[in-house]
Amino acid sequence: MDTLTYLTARHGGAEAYFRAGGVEAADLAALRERLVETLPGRGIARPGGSTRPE
Amino acid sequence: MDLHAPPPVIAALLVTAFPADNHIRSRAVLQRRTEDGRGRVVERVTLMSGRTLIVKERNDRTSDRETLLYRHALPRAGDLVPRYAASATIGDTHLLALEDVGGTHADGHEPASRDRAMAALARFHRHFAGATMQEILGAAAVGALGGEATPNPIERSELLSVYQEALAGHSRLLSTMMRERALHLAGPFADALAASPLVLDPGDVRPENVLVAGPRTVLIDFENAAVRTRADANRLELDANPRWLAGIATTIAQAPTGGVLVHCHAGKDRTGIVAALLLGLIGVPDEVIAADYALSSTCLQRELDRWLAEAAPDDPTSGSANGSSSWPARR
Repeated sequence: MDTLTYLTARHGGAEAYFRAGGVEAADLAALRERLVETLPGRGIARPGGSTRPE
Repeated sequence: MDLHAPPPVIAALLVTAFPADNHIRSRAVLQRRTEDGRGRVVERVTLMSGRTLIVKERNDRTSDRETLLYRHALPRAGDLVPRYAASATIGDTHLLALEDVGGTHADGHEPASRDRAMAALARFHRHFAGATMQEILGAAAVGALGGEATPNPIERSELLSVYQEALAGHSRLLSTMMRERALHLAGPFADALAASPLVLDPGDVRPENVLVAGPRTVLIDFENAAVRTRADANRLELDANPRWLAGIATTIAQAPTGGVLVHCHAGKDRTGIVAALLLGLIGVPDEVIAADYALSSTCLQRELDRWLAEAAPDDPTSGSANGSSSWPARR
């Protein structure tokens, strides 16, 4: 089973996982708001991304 | 937002850059820096958020050691680079000491490698052995975290009983070697926990995961019989570290306006799990998340080649370093 399928099957998905881990609802809402702030044409900026082709 | 478009930028930052020269930009409120007699940084402890603490040993040899580990592990298909961690709670604070230390073959036959891994763990362990949480973090930090200096809610007999019951329950899943190791550690493990200011997450107290038990800390081996692929390791990561990952999410949510950088050593797996969870939270399709995760292997190939090239030619751990340099299943 791949990781993402497992995340859903075992933990109920990312939101349920975070809630079970102790993230407050307000923080989840703030996190969502933060995550959807986009810069046009760019992908998620995570390491490895420094060498990632645009 | 078009969820089928490339994933969004995480527009703000915080976080966890472990390399000593790539200092954390976060609301870090605690940092401990210790130097040895020659002025080398041998320890760094950084508080990442109000609830989550990341501890990473650093010293001048760390980069070299990791390079050598890569050189040793990569040429052999099926090699593992196990992650070791000490996990504990103080009040509602979760402590997770991460250490990538050594490679061992999937078939379990590499005693020399295991010895080196144990030696690395021993060095790591020395930083904590005999120290109280107050000594490690400082009394003010412990107080700020809402923790107690020496919580010790679990009796030795209870620990031993839980451990032995768990061992019995897992016995069919354990190799003979692992079972013997677990049995050998049962007594010292219970002694160590009973004397320790650190309280493990109950889910971490699994005999197959206990590698080293010392007077003040216990190192948990996240490698087990079930972990043979990156997906295995990721599933284990999710199961073992919900509070750690939740702490990261909370920290990002509460970070000041600005960019958020999530980082580990290579930025591939620990970071990739965080990125996958965050993208999943906002409904990005699994196939997009998976593609984003997989991209790191390609992008990091240059770094991998550099690590291999920089490994000392006379390094005794080099093994058959002339083999393939394909990216390992685990990292």
